[in-house]
Formats: sequence, structure tokens, C-alpha cells
Amino acid sequence: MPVPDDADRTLPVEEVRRLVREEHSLRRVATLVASAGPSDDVLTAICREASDQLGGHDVTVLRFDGPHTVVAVATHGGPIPPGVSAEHAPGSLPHRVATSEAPVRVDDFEGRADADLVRRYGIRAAVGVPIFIEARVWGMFSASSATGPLPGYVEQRLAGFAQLTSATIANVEARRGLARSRARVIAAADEARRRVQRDVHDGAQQRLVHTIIALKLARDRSARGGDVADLLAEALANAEEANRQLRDVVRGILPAALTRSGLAAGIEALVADCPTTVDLRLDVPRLPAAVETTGYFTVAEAVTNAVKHASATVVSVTASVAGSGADAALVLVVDDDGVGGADAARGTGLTGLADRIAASDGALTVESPPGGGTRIRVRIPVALADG
Amino acid sequence: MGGAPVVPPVRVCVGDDDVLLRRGVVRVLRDAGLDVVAEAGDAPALIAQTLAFRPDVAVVDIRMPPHHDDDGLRAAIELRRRLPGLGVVVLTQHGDPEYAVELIGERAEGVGYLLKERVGDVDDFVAAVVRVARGGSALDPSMVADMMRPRRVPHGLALLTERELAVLGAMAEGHSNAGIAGALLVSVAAVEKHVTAIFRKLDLVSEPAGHRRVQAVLRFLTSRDGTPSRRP
Repeated sequence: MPVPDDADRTLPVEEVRRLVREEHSLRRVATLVASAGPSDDVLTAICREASDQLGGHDVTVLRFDGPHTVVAVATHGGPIPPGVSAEHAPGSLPHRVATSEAPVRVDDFEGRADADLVRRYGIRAAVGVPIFIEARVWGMFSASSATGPLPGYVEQRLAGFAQLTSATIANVEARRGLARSRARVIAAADEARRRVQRDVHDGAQQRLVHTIIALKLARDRSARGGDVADLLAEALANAEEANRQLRDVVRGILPAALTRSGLAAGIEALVADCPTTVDLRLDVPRLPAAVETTGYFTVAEAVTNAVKHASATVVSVTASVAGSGADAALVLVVDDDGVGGADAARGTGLTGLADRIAASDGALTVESPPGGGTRIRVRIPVALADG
Repeated sequence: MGGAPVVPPVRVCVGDDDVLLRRGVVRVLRDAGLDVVAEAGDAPALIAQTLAFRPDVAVVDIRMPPHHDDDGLRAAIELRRRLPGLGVVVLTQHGDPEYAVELIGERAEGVGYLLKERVGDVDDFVAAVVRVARGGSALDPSMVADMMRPRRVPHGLALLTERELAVLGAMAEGHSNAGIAGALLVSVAAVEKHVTAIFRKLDLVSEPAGHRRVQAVLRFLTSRDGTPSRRP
């Protein structure tokens, strides 16, 4: 019987059926992610679907947490419960997945770097397949067996699920990040409101209460023909103090130079009473108020950090507009020669700034090697309001 | 201090961390013939001094150290619990009725809630402190007026006529029927008639007589809460 030319492309009926099942499985997973939204439950469901496609072998999703730790996130039938974390030493399966960024197979753990650890879970053989998020290894799928080597198709089939999972996890992380950022923005706004309330109540309002009391006492005393010079002096002093404190509060909310004359004037006013030399190169027209305000607070935070925390002796601020039309963006660069080591994920000031810039659809980068000064670069789209 | 005291010597304890204001309060009270037996600059000291000196009334700033929150109010509530005969006048910069409701609790006798600047209206302020020391009550007139603004009249009081509302407001300020009659330029009998109507409309007829007045004031204060939003 002549063999057709394309015989090598003809798949056995069983394999075709399997591919159809896998296709359906992946589609169910995609539908689940789209309808239920991403969550640990969805990851568990993906593990279940993947397990079905691996002939019932257990499947676990693990996440790399820092350079040396791996955490189980979700599983179907796997021996390592979600939430359990473990160190991974060089040579171990997770470590090899993380460093090679490729699937890794171990047919027998006996004598390997992680033999003790996996023995505790009764694992004899396993396959790990990396999960990438934004081109970095985020974690891995692992299938394991208590008896002997896993079938040769495991790597390829898990890879299909890994791709889909990347999208799910990227979604989870983006949503969580957004929720956290929103919560921080709200908390910062509430805190600012409380601070204004406290400042006004304990400052200007208290002085005004004194003013009123002194004037009332003066009114009564003068009605009896008494001398009220001392009471009037007291009232005036309190009223002046109240006025001064209100001015400080108002200035703290938004500086007049910024609102009246724009970003360049606001920055010039900001650094006017700065004890450190600040070189300004400001070439910006009037911009939408939200952009100017965000830009102003960026510079204020960066300059404050440089002077207060980084012990900088020279700070330079550059402001310009890059691009044009819909692509126009305010670009701010603040450099200092201080101690470096600033981290946008740690300091609350920088985190608040990052949230604020993210809310303006902008981008913040911080370069701050220890001992090497700090460079903060911010890009804020100008035409956001029209989008 | 010249001449005989114009009022019987009421014994007072003053708590305020704002030293200038505290001195002002002490001076005003002493000039009026009251006996200021102790002063305190924070809530714990106020409690200790008041328990030690057992004054007739404590005049307390709502906001005091250590937390600079409502420490003064908390101290006042605790003192009222521990010394049932003690009058308490709380001074505030912002007239939130919620604080007054909390302070009064189950018992409006011996409670005052005044804006700080009232200290400058010496006669009214001293009269309020003396009234509270003797078991009466004193709600700041401006807070009463604020609650009586036509569109803000709480739904719980919607059944009252304008005149009855005015009488209830004067009751909340702490005035007697005779005092209300004087203030509203009507006869005492007319005031009594309004008061009876108020008790009936607020469904307080079954309350013990002495209690009704207090309950009416409480109703006045609390009816602001839970009221649907009032747009000016």
C-alpha cells in the first residue's frame, strides 16, 4: 500500500482526540479567567485542567519570591499545599528553572540538591516549566510523580497552560497593584484632609477663639467705661497669628506661585528657601493644572529627599516638554549627589509619588545606587485630559 | 475681686491645655465669685484633680492631651460616671451635637456644652457654669440656633409649631419656664402650655415629670441623627 507523502503529518486518531480535549481545556481556562476574573481559585482550576491533560498527574503553580525562595500558590492533587514556601538551593529544580528560563526535568531526585526536601513530600520525579510575566520568570508549573519518571509530553503540554497562566497572573498582579495604589491614594487624601483639619483647629481657629474672647471682654469692659487697650492688643496679636497660620496652611495646600504662574514659577518658589544649591533648567509652557500639580509635587518630594535624607550638596532639576500633539509629555529629571539607595517601593514619599504619577498615566524611574547619588526621572503625558 | 460674690461660691475644676484660655476661664470665674479649686492641662490630670477636690462642676476642653483627640470628652464622661453629682461643662471649638449626645448619655442633668468663645460672654458663661453645677443643663445658643434654621428642622420634630420649637430650643439652652417666658416675651402660663404640647407631641407624657424636660432636650439633640439629608 503506497504511503502518502504527508504521512508524517498525519496524527493518530487518539492524538487528534487528545489535542481536541486539550484545546477545549485551554478554552475553558480562558473563559474562566475572562468571566470569573483572575484569582487563586482560577489558578487552582487551571491546575485541575492541566492535570487532566497530563493523564491525572498532579500539577502545582509555584511563585518565586525573591532570589532564593519559592512559594506554592495553587495545586491540583500535588503534595505541597498552597502557602508553603521553601528555600531553593543552586542545583535544585526550581533554581534550575529560574536560571535556565526553560523546562527542567528530574527523573529521580535521589542524590540531587533537593533530594531531602522532595522526599518529605514523597516526590520521586518532577518536571518544572517556567511561567513568564513581562519577560521575567515569575514562577513555574510543576508536575510530580511518587513512582517514576513523568511521560515525555509533560513539558510541551504544561507550556501551553503556562502561557495562558502568564496572562492570568499578569492580570491578577495588575489588578492587585491598581487596588493597592488606589487604596494608598485614598489614604493619602484622607490623611491630608485630617492634617489640614488638625492644623486649622489647633492653630488658626484656636487663635481666633482667643481673639473673639478678648474682644468680647473688651466690649463689656468699655461699656463700663474701662480701659481696653491691653485687651485690644491681645485680640490683635491673636488675629495676626491666626492669619499667619492660615497663610501657612493655604500655602501648604497649593503654592500660589504654581497656581498663578505655572510649574516653572512654582519650582523656583519651592527652592528659593532651600538650604542646598539647586540648579534649575526649566523650559516649560503653562500646562494643564493636573500636570503642573503632579510635576510640582514630584520635584518637591525629590528635592526634599535629596536635602533631608540623601545629604546632597548639589541638586539639579530639569523640566521640559518632549514630543508634540497627543504624544507631548512633561519630562522632569531631578539629580543629586547624595548617598543614593532610594527605593520607590519603600519610602512612603516616593511610593505616594509613584501612585500619583501612575494616576496621571505617567512613568517614574528611580536610579539610586548606594553611594552614587539619585536620579529621578518622570514623564507625564500632557494631553491626558483629552484622551 | 471687689465686693461680695454675686453668686454663691460654686467650686470649679478647669481642664484645658491651652494655658492662655485656661487662665482666661479661671479669671472670669474667679472674678464672678466662683471658687476655682484646681486646674489641669491634660485628661489624666483633670480626672485626678477632680476626684481629689470633688468640685461642684468641671469645665473641660473637649480636645486635650495626651491624644489631642476627644480626650476631654472621654474624661468628662468618666467623671460623670464616677461622681454622679458632678456637673460638667464641655468647651468646644466646633459645635458637633454628636459630642453633646454622647456626653449627656442617659442623664442631661448637670451637663453643659458650649462653644469656647462663649467664655467672652462673661455673664452668660458664668450663669451656664452655675446652672450646670446645680444640676441644670446648658447647650450653646448658637448650636440651638443652628439646629432651628427653618430648613434644617429635624423630621423628628416636624410636628412642633415654630413657637414650640423656640420653646424647646430655650429648654435645650437650659432656661426655666420663667426664663423662657422672659426671652420670648410671653406669659409663663403660655410657656407651660407650649411645654405640655411639646411633651405630648414627642410622646413623653408617660415619662416621670422631672424627666420629661431632659428627654425633650435629648430628643431635640438626637433627632438630628438619622435624619434624611437636608439640602440648604
